[in-house]
Amino acid sequence: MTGQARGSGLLAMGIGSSLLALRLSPIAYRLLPIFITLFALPAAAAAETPEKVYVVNDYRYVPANVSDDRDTGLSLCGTRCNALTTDFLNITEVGGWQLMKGAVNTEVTVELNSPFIKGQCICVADEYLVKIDDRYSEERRRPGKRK
Amino acid sequence: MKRTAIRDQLSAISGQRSARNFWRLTVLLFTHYSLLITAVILLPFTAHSADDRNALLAGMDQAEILRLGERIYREGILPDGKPLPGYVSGDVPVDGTAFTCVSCHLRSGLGSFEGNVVTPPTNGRILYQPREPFIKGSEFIPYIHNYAVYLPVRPAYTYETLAALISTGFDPTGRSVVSVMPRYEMSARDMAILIAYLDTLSDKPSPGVDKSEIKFATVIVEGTDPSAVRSMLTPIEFGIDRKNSLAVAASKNPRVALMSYNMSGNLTDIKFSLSRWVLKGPSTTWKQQLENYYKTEPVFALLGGITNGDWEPVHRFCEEKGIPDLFPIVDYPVISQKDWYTLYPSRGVRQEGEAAARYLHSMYDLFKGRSIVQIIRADRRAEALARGFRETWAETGHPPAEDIILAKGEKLTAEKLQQIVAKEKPAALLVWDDASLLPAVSSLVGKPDKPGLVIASGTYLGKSLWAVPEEVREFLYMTYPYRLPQDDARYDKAAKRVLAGKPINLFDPVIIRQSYLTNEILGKALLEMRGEYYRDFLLDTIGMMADQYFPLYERVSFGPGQRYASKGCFMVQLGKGKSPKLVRRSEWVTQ
Ligand code: HEC
Repeated sequence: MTGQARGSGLLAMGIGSSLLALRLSPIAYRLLPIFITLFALPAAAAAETPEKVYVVNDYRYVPANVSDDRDTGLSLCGTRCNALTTDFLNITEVGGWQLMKGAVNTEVTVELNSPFIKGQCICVADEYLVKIDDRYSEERRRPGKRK
Repeated sequence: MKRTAIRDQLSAISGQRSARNFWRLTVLLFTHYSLLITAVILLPFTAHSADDRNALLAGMDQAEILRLGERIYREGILPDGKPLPGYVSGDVPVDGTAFTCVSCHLRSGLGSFEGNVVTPPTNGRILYQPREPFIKGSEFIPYIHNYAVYLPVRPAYTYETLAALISTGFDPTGRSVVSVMPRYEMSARDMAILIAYLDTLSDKPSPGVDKSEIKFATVIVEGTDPSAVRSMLTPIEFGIDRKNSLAVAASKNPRVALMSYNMSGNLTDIKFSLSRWVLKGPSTTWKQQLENYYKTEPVFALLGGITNGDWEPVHRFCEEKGIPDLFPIVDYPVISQKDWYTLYPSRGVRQEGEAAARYLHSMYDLFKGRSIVQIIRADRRAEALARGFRETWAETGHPPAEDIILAKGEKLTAEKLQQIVAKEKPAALLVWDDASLLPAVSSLVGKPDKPGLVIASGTYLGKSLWAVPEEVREFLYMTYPYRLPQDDARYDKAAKRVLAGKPINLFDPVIIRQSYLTNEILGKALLEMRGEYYRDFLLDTIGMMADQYFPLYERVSFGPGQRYASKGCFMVQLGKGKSPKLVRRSEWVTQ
């Protein structure tokens, strides 16, 4: 039911900017990293470093001491790694941003950071770079403000 | 996203969307059985005739008939209190209290269509008309047009053929529907009661709607901070103004009309109005004031609304009169599983306490019997936070936390906090108070009995959240019921748009974003209502929406009967350094 009327928010014509959200096909996702490495990096390096976000697929707990409770540690690593994960729709739905897939199933190590139990969490995550989607940004479209 | 494994770890909560998934599963299940249809043996079906009907219902009070009919429709319970027996393909019996009419045809009876799964309307007004291959006036609107494509034409129902459809599963063209809908067995009298109810569903136009106008109102409790009121009103008024200028443009310029016609059907021609209903004096008198406003000006729905205290009388009024209220800005919404008419942005202040409970639940085993203490300031906000914690904590089955309520007007001092900590030696301490808690909590640094973690409310701390002393940051966790500021900044441009050029610092940043939600959801819903402006259908339509992403909340989600749009809350800490960021310590913890 929803989805079909996306972006046409009647009251809010021009508000529902979700139309701008760019959805990449899986192939585009695969090709993009190559593309970025070849062409975009020098430019990106000059600008702000793009934010990196993760979508966590799995996690492990590495206890600090043999006596550490592994089950609870693992469960807390679930929360910890989840805190790292991003609901990517909440980046792309607003419009003007796109995600470019980086490493797949990369291991991100974070301190468990619990007052009760020590150790580390290994979050197995897909990595994405958040990029301003220039083609759709307002500045570019606004006449008289061409760069 | 493969987050299932991780979701499992958040043991407490799931199932926001279960109602809808259940529904989908149901349909799939039936489809699976559909090959068996040919094997269905027609049960001898009782002839239900319209003449009998009057005889059957003779002597019954109309209100009583509708009450009983509603119970069959919504709960699957027959007038004698027994469950309504249903059968799917192959005459497999199903429980009619699980397969209720309302779960598929929705409360308004106007049905739904999602992708290619279509549930047609089941209200008399539409059933007693032939079904055409399109909905008149909407032939060119793709998503409305689709609705008809998936269902074949049929002649108008009569009382007899309608009763036959319900009891045998055969429609007037002789086509069986049992692959997607159960057939139901009931007495002729019960059938007459059910049909009498279907006849009234979405039948008379909802008040506040006519061919040229839909009337809305917003309720403002006098004494609410004017800047808060302005922040609530501005996005809604912006939406209404835009909508009305579109209506004017369309009436003047046929090309605009054509364009927007494609987009919004007959809505283009309809103007919206928004009245302000200001409530004065003690809340006990509000009901009468609302009655008076409503009498002079019946509205289709309330939009937004604002109070800095009580809201319950408005909530009750909406339930009683059947008036939807979309997203009033209130800290203390009425929490109810079954109330229908008010949709809140969230569960309010208490949602933070609930999130804290879920977070602590995940590490409870590590407390090794040490206690949890809640220190509660004697005010409504702190009490709501504590209640949210207490009730959710009780669901986990752990022993209750120790509650320490400060005296009225009392502020937590370092001395008092140290005494409490020395005595109770808690593993975790929740302090529901404003910024005055910070010096007290700072004084715990280096003390032998310092709890493992201290939890406070991010919204109660307000701006002071950014001033948490460095030495406290490491053990102070805060509830934060919004998208983190660094991430929400992406949505700023969208949020600003509804201010129509006014400087954003004139507004309450949270309230304009909550009100933005009202505007967007109303727009989306009206577009999908295919010209059927019925109150229950407005809420049905919102209930079928997918998750949405707007400014402020990480996401909002809906579902049939769900009444609190944002269901989550982060646990955060303040990062290190001079201009620190909030750092997530949990995912968007949902109920
Ligand atoms: C599992 C979901 C489901 C349940 C439960 C259900 N229905 Fe249906 N109903 C449907 C679907 C889907 C159709 C469309 C079938 C078709 O035409 O192929 C339908 C068709 C109908 C129709 C015919 C509409 C038309 O235009 O031909 C009527 C009337 C109806 N249902 C009434 C009821 C009543 C009354 C109940 C409860 C006693 C009920 N339904 C329970 C899904 C359901």
